[in-house]
Amino acid sequence: MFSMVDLLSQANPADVIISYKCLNKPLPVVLKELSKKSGSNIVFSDSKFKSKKTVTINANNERLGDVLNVVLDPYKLTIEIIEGVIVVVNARNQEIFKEYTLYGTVSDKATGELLPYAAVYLDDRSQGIYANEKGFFAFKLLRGTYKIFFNYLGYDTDSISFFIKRDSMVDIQLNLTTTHLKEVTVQEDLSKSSYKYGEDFYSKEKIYKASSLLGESDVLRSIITTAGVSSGADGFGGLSVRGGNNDQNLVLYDGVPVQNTGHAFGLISIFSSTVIKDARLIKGAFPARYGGRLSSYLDVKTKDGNKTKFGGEIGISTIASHATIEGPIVKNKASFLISYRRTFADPTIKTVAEYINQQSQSEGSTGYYFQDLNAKISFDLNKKNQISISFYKGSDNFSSENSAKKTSSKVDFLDQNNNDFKWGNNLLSLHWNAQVGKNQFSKLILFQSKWDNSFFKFQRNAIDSMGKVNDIYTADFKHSEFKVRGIKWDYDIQIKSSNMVRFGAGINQNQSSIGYNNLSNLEGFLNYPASISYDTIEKITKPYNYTTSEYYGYVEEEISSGKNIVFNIGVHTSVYKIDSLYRPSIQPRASLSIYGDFSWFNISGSYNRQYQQSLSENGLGFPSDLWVNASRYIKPADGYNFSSTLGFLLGKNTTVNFGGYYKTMKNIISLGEGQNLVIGSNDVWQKSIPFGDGKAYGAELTIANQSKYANFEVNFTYSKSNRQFEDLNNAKTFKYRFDRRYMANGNIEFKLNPNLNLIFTGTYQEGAKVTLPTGGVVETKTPAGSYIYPIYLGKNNFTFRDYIRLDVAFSYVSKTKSGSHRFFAGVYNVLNRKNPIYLQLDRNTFNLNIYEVNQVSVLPLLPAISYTLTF
Amino acid sequence: MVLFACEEPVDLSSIESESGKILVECELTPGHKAEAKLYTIGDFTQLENINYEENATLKLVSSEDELFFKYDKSRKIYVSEHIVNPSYTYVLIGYLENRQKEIKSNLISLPSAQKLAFSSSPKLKKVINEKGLDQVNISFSAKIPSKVNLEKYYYRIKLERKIFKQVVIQGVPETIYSGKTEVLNFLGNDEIPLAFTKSDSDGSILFDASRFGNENINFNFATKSFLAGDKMENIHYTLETITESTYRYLVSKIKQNNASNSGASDPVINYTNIQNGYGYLGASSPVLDSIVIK
Repeated sequence: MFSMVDLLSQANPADVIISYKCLNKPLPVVLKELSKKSGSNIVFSDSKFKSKKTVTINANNERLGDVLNVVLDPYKLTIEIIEGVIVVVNARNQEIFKEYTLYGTVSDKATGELLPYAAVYLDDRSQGIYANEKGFFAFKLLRGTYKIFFNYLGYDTDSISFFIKRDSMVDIQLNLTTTHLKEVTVQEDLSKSSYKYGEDFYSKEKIYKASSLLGESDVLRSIITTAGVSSGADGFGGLSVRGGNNDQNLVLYDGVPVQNTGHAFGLISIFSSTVIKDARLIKGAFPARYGGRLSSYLDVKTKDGNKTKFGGEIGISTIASHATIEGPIVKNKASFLISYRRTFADPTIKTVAEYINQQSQSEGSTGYYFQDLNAKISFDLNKKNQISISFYKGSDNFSSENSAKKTSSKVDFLDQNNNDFKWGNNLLSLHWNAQVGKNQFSKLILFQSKWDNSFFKFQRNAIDSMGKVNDIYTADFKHSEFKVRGIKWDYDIQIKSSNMVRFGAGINQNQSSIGYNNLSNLEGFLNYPASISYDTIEKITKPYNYTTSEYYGYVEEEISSGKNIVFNIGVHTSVYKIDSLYRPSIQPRASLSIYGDFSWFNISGSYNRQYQQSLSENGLGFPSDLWVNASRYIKPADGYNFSSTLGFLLGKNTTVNFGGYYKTMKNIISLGEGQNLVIGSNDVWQKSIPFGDGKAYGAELTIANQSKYANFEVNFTYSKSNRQFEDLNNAKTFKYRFDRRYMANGNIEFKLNPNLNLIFTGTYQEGAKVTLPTGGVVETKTPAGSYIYPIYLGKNNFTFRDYIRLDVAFSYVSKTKSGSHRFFAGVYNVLNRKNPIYLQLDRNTFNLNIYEVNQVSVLPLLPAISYTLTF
Repeated sequence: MVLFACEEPVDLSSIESESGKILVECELTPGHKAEAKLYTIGDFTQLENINYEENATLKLVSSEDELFFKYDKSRKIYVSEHIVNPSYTYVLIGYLENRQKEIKSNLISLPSAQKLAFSSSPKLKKVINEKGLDQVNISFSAKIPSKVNLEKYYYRIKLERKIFKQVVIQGVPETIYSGKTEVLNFLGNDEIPLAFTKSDSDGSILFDASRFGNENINFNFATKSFLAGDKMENIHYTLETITESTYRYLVSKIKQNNASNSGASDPVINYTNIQNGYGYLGASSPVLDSIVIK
């Protein structure tokens, strides 16, 4: 439905509403009949009607002016209103060939929420565009009659028919799809758009249907089932997109960069599904408007809040509960949204920990919780200007104290472990979106993103053998605060339907404060007491602070040729400043897409630069990873990214996409081998960071089908990813931790009835790579005596067992007067397969010369339920 | 969720264990007898003692000659019967009595000795160190003058100086040689910091010159202290041209010795050029020279 169409001028005889139909009648006859039927005087000269064309029309309750324009247009005639009389005149050539702009917005009818990237296309698909990320669109059309469709995933497609003879504005409101048992036709244009730049789109509905952990639906869980994307087991370890590192993904939350996306050490994302509007992942070569990362861009958008009525959502899952409230501040003008989520598992964790301690004859306590708060206010200043303020604060807190005393053969053993981990993101942003004129859009964002983490770990192993004491204790301390303040301005001009220009610029100021230390009595810190506290080590380790700036700009042009070819070319430039040192970069980007009726093809390439990287102990993307800015000694990372996709539409409902990619990475960083990294008050630590290169390539196949009773999607990935560092692995090339040769994901959703779905999700990934010693040598070290060192002959020389997981879930939705009830019941890891996450190399408590190698898996078979009420 | 964690022993059968194989460390120097340490590798999960092997057969094989080693019990090393010929290329072969675990090294040739070509006079600067004592920093830039018979160029350098002291002879203060020398402390290189690795055992510095291309290399050293009456005279340096195998093996061993048991690090990957075993056959050619202090 469309709420307002300003297609013709008001208060004239052409506004009369009539119904009229005819078949193959001469134009003069039609004009006379229309004049008679409408009661309006229509003046025309017979000399104008030399053509033998006839008129066929069927109009119901249409404006007379619209009907006349449709009838007259083939004769290159139009109407003018002269002193209240409709006069048929020659259409001037410049009017016939002049382009007019149809512009406006696409939004959710129920909430007023603007729908980003909605598809807008002519019925014959000869022209089509996408709304921008704020739901604005501008469509250039020649004078004439058109039928235009509006489509957005999860919503009913809508269309309007009209005659355009001047620039016109239209606000389209789409209804959420509610009929589940409906014959669905795959929208070919959406499939095409998905592969334009290797883009993948995740609607709210898709996120809800993705495999969830403990009943918490999660956008990242949806994303890791995408072809070419992998992570550690169970989602642990962030994202590796097409063989890239976790830190090579720029995650934007309402346009604000997020440094770490994980609650619960990465098992659950910080993105509460209840506030997410949708998400897009670009994993191929990037258009010029994106910059700052080598591997992917994940753009997560939150809802603005309902502008028409108050509503909300409360939900409870096996691990957390959430509450959301939204509504209008001023109806149809301003809205708010507040959402809070928290784990309630604290007492359970405490009880289970106490039980485990009892069983292992140890003492201690364990506590953990996470929470996050989302808030957003949106104002429509007028039809063309919108301002919103977005806020996010999330935190995780884990602490444990554990000590065990054992006696064996008159030898006393003491094991003590204390952990105190805290981390969280704080995001704040102000957005101003403006439609300038009829075909130009401006987006301005001011933001601050702050990532804070502190980790403290104390371990003590003491052996008292007949008074001979061997006491080893170590303390690890990590603290980092990473703050980005920025301003970014984007400007889009839809010059023609076939030509769009985008340009923009921005400044980021990056502030880092990092402290990293470990103390051990083995390293000579004998003066410290046998219990090193967080405060002690924090005082010793003065954080290193440094500030850098990044200035960037881009220009991008998208040119369509006919309806089949789209060419996107652009350049992203940046200058990075630290102290008096400037590092400039020019990054060209290009993409070519060719669309047929039943197939599509895309090839794209980009050169990218990244100024922030993380130092990871294990490549797992743990929140303990330290983000560091490029500096005098730490070079920025660079890389090329090429990808191509060939897609087919099989029948009405099946899409097949086959693609390949190749990417390079230069100057990526890592921790050094055997490095005792201490980050203190000066920049010496930066000199010990090794640099290396990486290469990744692979092929992906995705098959998706939608039908009346079931939907399924399956994807396969063949990939290789390796690294080469001059100062690691003796300069030999080694496999990347997530170098998974074969991966496959599949999900099938059975629509048992309009409200009940049964969903199976399966994942297979070749095991992750870890480094394992293959032998050991005892050597003499003075003065402490002999010591052992394991022999490692290759980095990432051991492959974990393959990751295999099957999940089953029922999803039931019912609507009552009180609102929409969504019940979820499922089993995670039905096969109860122990999928290892990391390797633990420990010394035996009773004999320090004996190493024990264990692989640690975290999530066994886990049943889960959740309930959500949306009102 | 951490409480759901499950630990399982790793099935190590998929990786080839080095346990029981021979570990040999042998470095050749032109004009000297070769020396080699040899022992067997243990299962890293069960390490108790150093397993020196006394009854192994070890020999250096070239196209012209075979050099057999004899075991020196007092030093617990194998020593070759004759000196190494600098113009030969060698392979090290060794086995225990049953010959089931014969090892064979990659072929190596002995590098030629090189001197530093200084591009500037050394700069001396007196500073106060962390202990509040005077020290002298010495910096200079130099190149390795010509290509040697290696694909890449690796070196080991050690700078030493005589320490002087002040004495009063017949009421007159005089500066005399204290009879002691000190190895100068390496302060690092800002351009490619990781091209240098310091050996804690003797203060020598291993470096990879090829990472600098044709550019001058900046060297920065310091005295440990510089007490009243001390003075700087010419600095003596030993520059050894070493094979890649020597460089990589020693660097990995230094890293391993310095590795912390805790904290953030990747495991040290050990270098080997020994097939069916572990360790290295390397070579070095030293040259002694002086840096003139004006």
